[in-house]
Amino acid sequence: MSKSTLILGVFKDENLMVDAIKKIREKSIKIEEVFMPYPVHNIEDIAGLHKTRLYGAALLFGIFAATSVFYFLYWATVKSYPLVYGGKPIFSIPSDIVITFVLTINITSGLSVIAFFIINKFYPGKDSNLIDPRVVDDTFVVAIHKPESIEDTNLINELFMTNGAIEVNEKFIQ
Amino acid sequence: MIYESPVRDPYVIGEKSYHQITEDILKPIDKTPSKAWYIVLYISIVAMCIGGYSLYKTFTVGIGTWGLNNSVTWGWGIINFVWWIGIGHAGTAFSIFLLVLRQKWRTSINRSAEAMTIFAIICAGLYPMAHMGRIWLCFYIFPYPNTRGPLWVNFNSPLFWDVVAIGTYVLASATFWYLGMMPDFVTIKERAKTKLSKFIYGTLSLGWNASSKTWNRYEAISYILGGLAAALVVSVHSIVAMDFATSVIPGWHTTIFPPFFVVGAIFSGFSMVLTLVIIMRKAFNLQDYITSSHIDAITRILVFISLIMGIAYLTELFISWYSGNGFEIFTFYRNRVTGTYSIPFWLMIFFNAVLPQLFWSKKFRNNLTLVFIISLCVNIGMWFERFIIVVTSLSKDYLPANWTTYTPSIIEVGIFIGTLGFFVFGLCLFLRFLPIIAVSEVKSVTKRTSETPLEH
Amino acid sequence: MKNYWTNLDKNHAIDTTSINEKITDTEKSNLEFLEDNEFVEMATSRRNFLKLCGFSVTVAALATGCETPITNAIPLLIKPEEITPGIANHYASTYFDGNYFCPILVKVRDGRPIKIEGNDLSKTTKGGTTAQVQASVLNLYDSERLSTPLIKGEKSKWEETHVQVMSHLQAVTKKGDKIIILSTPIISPSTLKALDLFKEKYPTTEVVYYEPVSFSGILKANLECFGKQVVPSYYFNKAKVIVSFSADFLGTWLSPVEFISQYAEGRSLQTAGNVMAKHIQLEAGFSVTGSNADVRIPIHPLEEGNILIALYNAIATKSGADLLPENKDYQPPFDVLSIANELWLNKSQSLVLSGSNDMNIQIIVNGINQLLNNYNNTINLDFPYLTKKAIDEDMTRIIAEMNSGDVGAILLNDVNPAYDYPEANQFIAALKKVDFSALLTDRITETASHTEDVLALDNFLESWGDYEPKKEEYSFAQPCIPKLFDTCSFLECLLIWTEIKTTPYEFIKLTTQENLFPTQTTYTDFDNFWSIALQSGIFVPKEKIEIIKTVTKEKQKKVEKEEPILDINKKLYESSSKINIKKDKNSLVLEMIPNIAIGSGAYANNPWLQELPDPITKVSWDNVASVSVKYAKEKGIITGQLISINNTITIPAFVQPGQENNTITIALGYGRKNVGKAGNNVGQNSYPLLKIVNGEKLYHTDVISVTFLNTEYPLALSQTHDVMEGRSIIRETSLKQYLEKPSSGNEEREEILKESTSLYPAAEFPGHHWGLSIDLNACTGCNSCLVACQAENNVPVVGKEQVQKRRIMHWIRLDRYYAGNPENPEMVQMPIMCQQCDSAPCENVCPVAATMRSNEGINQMAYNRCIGTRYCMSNCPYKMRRFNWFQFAKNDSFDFNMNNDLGRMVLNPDVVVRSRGVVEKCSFCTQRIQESKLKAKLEDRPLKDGEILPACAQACPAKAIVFGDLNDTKSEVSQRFNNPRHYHLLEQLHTQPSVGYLTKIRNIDNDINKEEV
Repeated sequence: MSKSTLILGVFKDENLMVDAIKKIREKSIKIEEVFMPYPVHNIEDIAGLHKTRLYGAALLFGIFAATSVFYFLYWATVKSYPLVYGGKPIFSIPSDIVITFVLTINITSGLSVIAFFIINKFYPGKDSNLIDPRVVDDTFVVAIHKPESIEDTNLINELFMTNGAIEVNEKFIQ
Repeated sequence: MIYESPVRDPYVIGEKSYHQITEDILKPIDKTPSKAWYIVLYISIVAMCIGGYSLYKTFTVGIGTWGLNNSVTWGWGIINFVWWIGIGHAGTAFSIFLLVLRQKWRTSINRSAEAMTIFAIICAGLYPMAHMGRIWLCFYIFPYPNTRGPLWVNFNSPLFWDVVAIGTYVLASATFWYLGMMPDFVTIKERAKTKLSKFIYGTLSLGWNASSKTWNRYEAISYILGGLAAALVVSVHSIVAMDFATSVIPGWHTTIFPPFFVVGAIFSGFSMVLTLVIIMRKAFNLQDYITSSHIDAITRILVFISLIMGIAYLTELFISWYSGNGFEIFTFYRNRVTGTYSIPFWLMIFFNAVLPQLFWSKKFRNNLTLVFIISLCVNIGMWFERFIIVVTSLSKDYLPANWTTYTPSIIEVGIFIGTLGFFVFGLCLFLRFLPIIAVSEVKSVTKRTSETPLEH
Repeated sequence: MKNYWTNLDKNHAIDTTSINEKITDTEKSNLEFLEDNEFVEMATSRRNFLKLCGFSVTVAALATGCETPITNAIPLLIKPEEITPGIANHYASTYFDGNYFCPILVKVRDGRPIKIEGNDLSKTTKGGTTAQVQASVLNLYDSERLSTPLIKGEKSKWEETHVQVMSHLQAVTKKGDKIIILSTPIISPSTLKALDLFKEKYPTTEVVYYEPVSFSGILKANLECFGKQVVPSYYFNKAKVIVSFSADFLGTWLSPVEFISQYAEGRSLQTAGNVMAKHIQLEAGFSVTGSNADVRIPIHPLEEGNILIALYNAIATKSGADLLPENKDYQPPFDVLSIANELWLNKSQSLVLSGSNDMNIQIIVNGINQLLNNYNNTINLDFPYLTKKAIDEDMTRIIAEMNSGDVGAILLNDVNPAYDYPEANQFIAALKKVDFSALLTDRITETASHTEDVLALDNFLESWGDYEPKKEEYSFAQPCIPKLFDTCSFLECLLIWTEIKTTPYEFIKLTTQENLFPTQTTYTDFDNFWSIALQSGIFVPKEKIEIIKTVTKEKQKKVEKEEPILDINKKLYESSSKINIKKDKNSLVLEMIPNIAIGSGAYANNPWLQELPDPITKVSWDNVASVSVKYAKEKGIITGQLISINNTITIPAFVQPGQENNTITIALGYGRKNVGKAGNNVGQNSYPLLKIVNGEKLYHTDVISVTFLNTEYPLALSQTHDVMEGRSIIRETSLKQYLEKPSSGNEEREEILKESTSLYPAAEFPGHHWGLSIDLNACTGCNSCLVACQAENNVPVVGKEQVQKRRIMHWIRLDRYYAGNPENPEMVQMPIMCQQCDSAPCENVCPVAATMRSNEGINQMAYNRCIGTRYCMSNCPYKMRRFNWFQFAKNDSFDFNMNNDLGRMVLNPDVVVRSRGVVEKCSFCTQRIQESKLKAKLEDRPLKDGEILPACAQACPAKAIVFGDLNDTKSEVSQRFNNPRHYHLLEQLHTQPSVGYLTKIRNIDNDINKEEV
């Protein structure tokens, strides 16, 4: 969110909020962000917010991990230091499959989580400066950019109030 | 307002506002804990001290302090390793399987189940270490570039697979657990009175802002981890099973082992969850969140798994007879069904395959004390299963001249007590300082999901 | 398939003062030789080497002995030409402990003897050794040996001691009192000569021989029958039928090394074609010999005589000789006639012997052999053993004399009557009556506390010696290390006491020059002869062999002419009448026998021997009272239960299958009170139970009282399951079946080979492919391979408690199984070491690649890499991997040879001493393989077959173990692998071992009877 003033519609109920959002979207007003104490499914579709591409990233990580691990195993056992164990062939694919499988999971999950932290800019000690402390308890907040014209502003406030918002606040964000 | 569900019992009993839920669940964190909590904590610390001393002896004097011998070279070390790993499957099985299967009712249990997982795996992980003859060289087991060639490890060895699998498992389940708690950490922070706890929980929350973007990514990562870890649950214990299955020892050399072990693990995991959850909901009166219907659901699963276990046991016996392999037949029929170790064998059968069948009747399912006892029995039964597998096969294998018996030494017992202590200790801290139920998730299921028009 | 139930380290360090001391008293003699110009180079250089190199060892030992702080290191200043540090040299020498004799090669590495091997130049032992011989090297490094002579318990100098002894001796001779030298049998010509000189100087001297395990029965019998007080030499290889009455000739009787090789030869199916000697053993307790017998018949010691008479008469009826009076109301428990038939059919190719110490019984035995015309065929009186000299009566006589006060001085040479004489207290009492007594011994023994002087004896590896174990068969001993302590040899003492100004070395050389040199023609120059003799360690006059042939002929004629049978007959009558008045066999009788490991008990402080499991009972660190299965059932005794016999001994019972009912067998040599840390109070002393009947020591006695205690005594058993459970582990067949179908008993292999297949390509071995084959038919279970392996590979001793926990470290295991009726089962044994599998289960599972297969087919073990997960052990179907449960070296909890610097000198520098937490196992003696390969490489030649000998193969007196290259089709081992009898242990597991076994064959089917009928 760039620095600007936001109009915050505060809701106490999930369904009311969802309806409100729908109404507002009909007026083709862009929803900036929605804050929720728990994930409401498909909210990003309704509020027209962008969807994450984390799934795709994970897939790429997986492919990378699988290939690199398998190649390492081949290199280590065949190229780098071949040894005969119990009369079995030096390059023993069955056991390599086991290791590759597990390590793929390991690396993929690791990288995905790291990616998750990066895109969210999460790091220890970061202040979460909540839009409203109650959003982590029992409150839903719908944030919309405060337009220049007073009319539009009033319209938004009204839309909120008429659609079950318990209060409407404004907040200036750096 | 909350919708009463005509379809099935609600996940959360009583008309609870979101705020109420927050209050109920996070109460223990600001309350000073009860006397009982302290007693349990102290007992667990004593147990840990015993374990610590036993480990000290093992590391300084040698594995000779254990009851092992030239024939039975694996004993309680491996038995307890496998047992703990099994228990460690509860959390993952719960939160991940059920997450992937979109089983909403998991929400009130998965957090504690995951906590259990973490502590159980740490206990399990301890054993392969303590079990080594030269623990100071344990780093040899990792394939790191070295000046010895470089000499890599033996990638054919199931023990190496273990290292990889368990390492991954710890990592994945720990991350999953932590991620799950992030939203709740902020909630706690917001409620926290003291500066210190504000700071701690603030730091732990990594700056969570409840925005829909975050939630969206959050759910994505949960599903990614869930999906991957689901595969882990299967692979980890399959690999542990391969420690035995890839060997040539009669009673170990069995293709049924991987699935059999996985099921067994989930079995012991679920029963351990049951044991703890029953205690927990009593101790922190969370009956509204962990309802009898939750218990009921788990017991139903137990019946099912116990049937699978029973079939597995019979299959083993049948195949060993059908194979006509003298060594196999001896191991199963003269060293398990009968012989020195017949008592543990029949205890195993009774506890794992017979006793849980009581859960067929609703009457028993609803009788908490009975459920509690049976869940304990299953845990013991599963321990015996590992004992039977490890000891009987080694004590009487191919050459009768090697045949011997095995009794654990006081040191081995000490280490086991230690791990139990650590497990309880860990849980105590968890129950005291962390959100024992996934607050945000519970909120999401307080109303019947099917009624919300957004649910597709 | 029959169902079986079943390196000299930086310790080159001393403080200079101790060097000088050492030079003065140990090197003097050596220096003298060097002055001798005629002395041949070879010897000289070796002496040099020994002096310089051994010097530092000596000092090291001394330094440790006196705990002198390590100050400075003394390197080899001049390199002796034949010595390369790090390369072992072998020196021919001789082992003789007063009982067993064995020509040996001593492996000396950097001045330390570290291993003893058999001298393959010897015609008698053919390079074999016994467990005791193998272990004897450790006795050298026993920290509890006497370091100086003691006078009245006070340490003293030799000079003073000798003066004191001589003054006493002179005083006694003046008084005209008697001087008694009570000695172990002396077979050294020079020592005997010295004794004669001693007698000249001190005319009142009498030499009396004493043996704890006596042969006086045989000696006297032969005196009676043939006028020769000797133990004849036996030729088991010439016998087609061997009937042995409780003579454990493969274990402890007379000369096992020799007999094992003869026996193996006589029963070998490679050499002797299809002729295989039949062996019938009649005994009470189960012996190793009994376990090898084709037919074993448990008999009661008291009925032995009657059976022999019955046998004699049965044969006499065939030969037409007159019968002996039989005990009418005695019925032999089995068909004596059939045995008689077999013997008669193999007339002059049979052998009957008895282990009894009863003269009368031995006379009957002589009679039987006479009838069978075995003399000069399988028995020879002309070249008898000289190792047995003691006559029991002498002991009672001298005790009487001592008590009467006629004896002024007694010198005890390496004997320990206070421990091993049945009436020890009487002897001790008598000893007190003697004015002067001196004991020559290597340690403070039970007797030492009762004598005035205790004179520290050399170890046999420290002194010169010459031996005549059998008539006209000589061997020599040379010091392989300078004396570790301030000690003397018996010969040295004698020479000094008789005031002969010469060294033992020169004296021996002189004697040899006088006695032996003339008997040969090969060498004209004595020094040449002498050096060669020392080099080979063996000397047999050429004539001897011819003599045997000729004499035999004459003898046979003589026998017929002179009719010595007549006067034998008289003796036979007397003896038989004496035997017949013996009481019946229903009384409970206790039998005392020496066992393989400890023997008479002289080496009870040798931890290797103490830990060696008894081949029959599998008990180590204890002796037990073996009772029969029937008796145990009746009395409700279980193995390990303490029983008290005649209120003199309390000992754990052992339920022994095959033990004759109404008999209890206890091993001798245990229960030492004063021998050293390892041996003290191990087991129970059974010597006091021996009965002395008019002077004769009887090795069985009536049990007056048995009380069963309800306390269970923990026994260190290394095998607890005696049944094969119908598994084809040890495959055997009968001679008849074998002749019909050589692969009989081995059918399973064919089936397995038919089905045998692999997912993987067969292993390829471009260079060598090492293999080892064990002939179960030749192996007698003598255990020498176990100790040889232990000595070669620095295998630690773990002590009783750990053996009990089944943590014995031996790299070779002798599995023992019973088959058939528990009252009288068949017993089979199988030596098992790491099978060096080509597809080894242990290799796959090691996570850190500590074990893998070499390109020569050896399953290698990298100790440095091992982290001790013990997965390989679990996954080894043979369970032949060993784990270092504790730190066994330098650990006070395991206070054996590896815990003191002196004891550690025996360690083989070529083999790592494994640390705690490491898995170890047989390596096919890879250090030896490498050594030979390098040698061949340097000499630019291919390896010869049989050039490489692992310790076990080297030690085996039966040559049952053969090692070689499987890629070389002509090698003995690959021939064995092609033998129809060849099979692998647990081959159905497709582990493809490099160790193979040849089926056991028993000569059980006697068609002889049929022919007779």
